[in-house]
Amino acid sequence: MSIRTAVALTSVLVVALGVANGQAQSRAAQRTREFAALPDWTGLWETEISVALLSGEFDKPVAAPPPAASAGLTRTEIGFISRVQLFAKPPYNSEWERKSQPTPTHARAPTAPPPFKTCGRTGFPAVMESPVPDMAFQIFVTPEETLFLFPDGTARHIHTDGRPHPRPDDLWPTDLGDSIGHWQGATLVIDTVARKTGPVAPFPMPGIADLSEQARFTERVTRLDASTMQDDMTIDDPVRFVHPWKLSIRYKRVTDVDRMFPTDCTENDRNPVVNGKVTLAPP
Amino acid sequence: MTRLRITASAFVVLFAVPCMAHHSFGIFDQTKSVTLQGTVRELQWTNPHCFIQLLVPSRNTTSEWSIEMHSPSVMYRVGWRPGSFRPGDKVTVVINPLRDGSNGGSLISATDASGRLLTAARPQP
Repeated sequence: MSIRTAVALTSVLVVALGVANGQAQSRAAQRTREFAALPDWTGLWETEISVALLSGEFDKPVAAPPPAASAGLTRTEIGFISRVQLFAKPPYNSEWERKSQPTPTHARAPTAPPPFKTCGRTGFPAVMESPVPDMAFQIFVTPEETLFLFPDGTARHIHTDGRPHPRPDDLWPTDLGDSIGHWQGATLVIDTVARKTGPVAPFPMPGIADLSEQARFTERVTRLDASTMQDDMTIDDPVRFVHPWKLSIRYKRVTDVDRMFPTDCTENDRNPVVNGKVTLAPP
Repeated sequence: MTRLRITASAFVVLFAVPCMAHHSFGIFDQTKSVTLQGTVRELQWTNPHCFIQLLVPSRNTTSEWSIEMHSPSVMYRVGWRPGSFRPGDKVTVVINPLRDGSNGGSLISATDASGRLLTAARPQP
């Protein structure tokens, strides 16, 4: 290689590197601008039901315990469960309305309710309306995706980089489904598909709403003020509903703790189910 | 000297918060409260529930009670810390007892020898 050729190649290389570096800097600057334009949702958030639960709102004395208390739940539990919108009855079509009713056999021979005990991740959509303070969550907003992180390890990835849902061959049902989103001003619009067939929460509650794999979830998440966020969720299940099911879940900023603590239902489980009943075991 | 008081009432549950993320607190009788005085053997600061193991003396013997609480994250938020009670601390606890009558319950409140009160929920204004 002649000196002239070497100089020419070096010049080309220097120019190419300069262009690439300039493009990288330009992209970084653009990403910084995109990041700065996104809303600030930092901090810990919990449902309004969780706030009420922690303040003892559902413990207020009543003259007589509700009848359902004899079915294994406490008055407090019945109080806050009744506030969870996802535990209400969805707009089933006639076929699923019939399937959700107790059968005559069940009606004639009632059995004790299953022991109310859970261990595992809550799954979607219930994770967005957890009524317990243990599940205060964090939201990480980036230009490419928004992450909802929960203490039980659940991470909802909302892709906002413009990608579509995967093609059918690349998509299979999961507990959280597949979520993509886009921003409409300061509102994150989320579209979720491919959520596994099954109850809205992994709780052994008779009559809990049950969704098909065809269910499609549209959420509009926005911050109402410095301490309040809201998720307006529409669930459309063409297989089971006569019309979309609309929920509005309100969150409050957590102010009494500055970090998320992990939960783990297996670390020291002293409540085994024995003969169909939850018990308290010695240490 | 053992002091054990059982009060049958539908109006005693002031601070009970269940942890539905794990199990119902229906195993505890929310219509009754039991006051126990004893010595802390251990504070288990664990998931999914914290526990106080309390040694309660009676005339001729000492029995151990398991006092169930909520998860560390919930207890932390209402003022508890892993070192809130240490082995050997004298404490008075108020609980909703187990329905089956065995030595256990869910915590309503705990007071140490200096009068410091800790509850299972944020005190209402």
